[in-house]
Amino acid sequence: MATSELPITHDLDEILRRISDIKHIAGVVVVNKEGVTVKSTLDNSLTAMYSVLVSSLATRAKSIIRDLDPTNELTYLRIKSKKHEVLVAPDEEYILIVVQNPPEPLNS
Amino acid sequence: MTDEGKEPEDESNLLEGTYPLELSLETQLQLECEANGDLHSQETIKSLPLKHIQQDLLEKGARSDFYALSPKIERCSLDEVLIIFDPTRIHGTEFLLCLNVDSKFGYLNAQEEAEARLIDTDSPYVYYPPQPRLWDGRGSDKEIEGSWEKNVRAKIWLKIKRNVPRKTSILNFTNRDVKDAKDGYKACESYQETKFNFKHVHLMDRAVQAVPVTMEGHSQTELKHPKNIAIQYEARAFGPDEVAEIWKSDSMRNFLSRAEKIMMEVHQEPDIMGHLRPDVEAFYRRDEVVVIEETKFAYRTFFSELVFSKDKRITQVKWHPKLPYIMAMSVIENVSYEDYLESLSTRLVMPNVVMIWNMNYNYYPQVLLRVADDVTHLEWHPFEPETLVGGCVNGQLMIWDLTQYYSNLESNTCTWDHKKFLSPQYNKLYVQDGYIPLLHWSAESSKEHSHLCGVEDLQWLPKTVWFSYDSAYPKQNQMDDELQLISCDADSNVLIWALRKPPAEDGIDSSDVEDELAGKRKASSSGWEKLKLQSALPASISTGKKYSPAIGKYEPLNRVWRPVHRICFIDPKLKFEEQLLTTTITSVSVIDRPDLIIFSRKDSTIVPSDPPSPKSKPQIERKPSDTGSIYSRSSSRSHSPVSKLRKHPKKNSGPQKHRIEVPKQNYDSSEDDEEDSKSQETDPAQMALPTFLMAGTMFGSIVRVDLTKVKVDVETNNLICKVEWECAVHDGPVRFMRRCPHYEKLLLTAGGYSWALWSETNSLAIPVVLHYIEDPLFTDVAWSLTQPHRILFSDEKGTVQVWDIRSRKSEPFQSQDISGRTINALTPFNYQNSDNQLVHYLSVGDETGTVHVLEIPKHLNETYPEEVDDLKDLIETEVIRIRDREKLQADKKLATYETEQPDETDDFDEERRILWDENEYLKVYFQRERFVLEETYGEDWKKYLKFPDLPRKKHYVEIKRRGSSEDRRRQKELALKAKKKKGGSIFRK
Repeated sequence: MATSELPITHDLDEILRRISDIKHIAGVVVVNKEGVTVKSTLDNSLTAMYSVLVSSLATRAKSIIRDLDPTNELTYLRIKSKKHEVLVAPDEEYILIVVQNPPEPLNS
Repeated sequence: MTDEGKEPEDESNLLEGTYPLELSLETQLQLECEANGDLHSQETIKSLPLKHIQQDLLEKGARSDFYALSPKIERCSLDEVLIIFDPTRIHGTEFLLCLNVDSKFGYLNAQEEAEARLIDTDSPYVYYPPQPRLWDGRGSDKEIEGSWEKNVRAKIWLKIKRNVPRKTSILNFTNRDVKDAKDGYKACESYQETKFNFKHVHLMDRAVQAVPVTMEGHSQTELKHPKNIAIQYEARAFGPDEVAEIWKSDSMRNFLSRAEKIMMEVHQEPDIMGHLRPDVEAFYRRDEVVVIEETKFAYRTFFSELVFSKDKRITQVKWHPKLPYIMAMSVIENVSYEDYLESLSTRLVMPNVVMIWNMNYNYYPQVLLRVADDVTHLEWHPFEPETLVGGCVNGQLMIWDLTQYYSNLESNTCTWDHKKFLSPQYNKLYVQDGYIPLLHWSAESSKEHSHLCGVEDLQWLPKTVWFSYDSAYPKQNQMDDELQLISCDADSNVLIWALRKPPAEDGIDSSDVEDELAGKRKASSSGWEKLKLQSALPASISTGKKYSPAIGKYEPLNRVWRPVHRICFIDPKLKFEEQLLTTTITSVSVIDRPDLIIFSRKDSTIVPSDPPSPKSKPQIERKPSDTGSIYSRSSSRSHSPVSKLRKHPKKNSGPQKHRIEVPKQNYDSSEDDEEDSKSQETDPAQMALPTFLMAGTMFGSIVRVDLTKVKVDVETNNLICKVEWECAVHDGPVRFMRRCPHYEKLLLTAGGYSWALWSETNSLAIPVVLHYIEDPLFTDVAWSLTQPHRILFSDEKGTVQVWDIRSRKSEPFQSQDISGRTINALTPFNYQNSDNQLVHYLSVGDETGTVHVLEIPKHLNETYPEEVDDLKDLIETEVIRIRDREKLQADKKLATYETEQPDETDDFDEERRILWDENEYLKVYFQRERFVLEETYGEDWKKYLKFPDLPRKKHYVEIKRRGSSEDRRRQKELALKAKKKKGGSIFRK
């Protein structure tokens, strides 16, 4: 998407707020490709954990998809656990991590 | 066409056997040699089987591109020919065809040479050394500045130290002798070998001695490298400036809008697994661990005593209301009541003692309580934790005062020496040796005023109810800490007891007794108590008639304790002589209804001088039993007005009759004053408290009595109550009446093979819930302490049954066999264990003299906050249902009564009735037939008539169908008319 398509007054914080306002969303973290946090709505220790661990996983997933087919590209990554669901949207420079509490646990 | 003879001199010349050729696009595609596609400037040669060209010639004939060369192709002996692509058209055509070995190889060689020419082997190789550049940091942890490398990220430096310095203890090693300790040495002793014999050949003097070698040494671990320091990089983080910069950047903007799209997309599909979910879940469930909850009563502990309780029947198990680990237990001989009475004369002198147990010391009882006779009923005083009350088989009531052991019981310590008891050397453990303390009763009731036969039931009155000696009516209890007891026997007597000294009757000055009581309370020094205890030996009991060793604070009551009132019952339907037989009371339960008091007070204040209503008729002033000579002496006492009152009993009549009969203070001054009576009415203490008594009889019926409507029998001084109603429900003696602990208006009665629930909130004279069971007889009943709708039953076969009120089935919700022996006492209780958790236990006493303590499983414990309300709702709906049913039955009765009469007249008019019937009946029938047929078949309904010959036409009423509903209405009207006509015909006569 080109920059020109976005309105100039468009606030990035507004986007973040919109994402985190979705039902069941527990937190949103933006990290750069090296795993350094840019913005986060989680608390400090959780942010650090998610940034480091998930970004490395996203990089790995990205390379797996590339290795399987060089013309392919990873669009997003979803990890579902008993307690949470982690949505990862990797990009060239940054990675968006969204943590949500699923409405119903898997193994209930 | 080409010139064959020419030799190719340069590149432009063709080799021999090579012919220029034009190929159409179709042929190019067919032979896979498309110009600028399969063949291009880099790859100009394609080898092709000759067969393909021959086939092309064969198929297309003269149209073929190869037709011009067909003679040469025919002559060609090669299997594979070459087609050469010539984009420059040197020979005028795009393609060349080689049909000859030499030319073929010539072209192939030429191509190889051309390829070899691409590598430049002529110019010499020159080495260019790499140029030094500035250091470009790419996220590594080290930067280079000048010629030094340098860490750029800060490091966290952790040093972990123990808070307390290591304790070093110095060990001393000493020498010791082998003899100092057992097994201090190992030796190989000589022994006689059995397999063969030694023979002394030569004797030699030899000796071996071990010389001890002492060594000194030490060993210690050394800390060479203290491993308590760790260094770690600090996590990298952006500063606020950096974040702001990133945040403004276009890349971030693009990224976030992309990511948002993805996120929104993801949220359209909430389930990550889609339609695979059921399969995945099934897979997980495969190895899911199912937690099985304990649904049975789990055995926890038991109490049994070899001497005092073994092989005796437990009659009562009562847990202490304040100390949940303390239990009082009474036993009697395990024989039937008849056998018991027969063996009374031959029985041992000493009756079975009452035992006080502590849950934490279940080897032996804590205290043994001496009794006048075997005890059948026990009750702890709810407010005085050291007081226990019991009812005996001989009809007496007893009070025990446990004050001297209460500190032990409270602090959960053992009253006997634990170590001494458990050591095997001691066999004589009991009372005579002074191990288990034996406590004498504090008071026994006066035999003349007690029950004449065994106590059948013993209950505390509700704490709001108080009967005083000078009034026949129950009143509001003004004391917070005093309660009264109600007890009954099989002789139809219900006694009400107060734990206080009665107004003296047998010549003892009441003030003296009271002073003595106060004195004892003060001087309850341990020494004196001990002296009393020591005198309480069995020997003294057998001669107890002469010497009374009673101790404790109720001692002044001993032998003078008598009931406040004795209540008898009269069923208005029966003669007085028949009364005593029918109402043999086996259980009682009393409820006060303060909600009714408002009504009565209002009633009396509005019309202060209303004439005595029929309701108040039986209320007659209590007559004094004997002369008031003693009272006149102690005029300062609260009983003093009674004496004065008794002198003027006749005065208290007239309009005040139905109100409280004995004004305590006011009566002296004004004997029949209207104003005074008004002031009495406003004082609740002077009002009769509406109190009702439900009693179960030997014959299984339930009796309800209003205790505010009593008559005093002049001769016996008994209170005589009229029975409000009696309802025969149970098929055996009503042994148990239990109030629901959660909802006191609900009463559970059980007897024989049935149990019933009664609601007090309405004047229903029949049970709300009634269940009959099969074989095993109920032996005890208890409400669940936690769940309001569960009832626990025990039966003869040793089974504990759990019933659910909500279920309409006449079978237990759950039942469990406990000991296989008849259970006689069933008591649920809550116990706070050492982990401070509330545990729900059930104690079960059986005929072998053992009390089993069981833990109630969780599903019988769990409560939900609205359960009590649910229960109330359930009872209310049941009541409504019963009312409706009664009403319905009454209506039915009425209806049958009404319809029966006209029927009689009908019989007289038989002929006429039939005549009328025929015409009217056919009319209605044909109308209906038409309607039904029209509905199903439409216009041509007439074809479907069953009997077309019937004379329908004259019966049809001329109604045009306007609609089915209209039709129906007309039919109804018709029917109604017919009915009226019928009625008319009946009464026309």
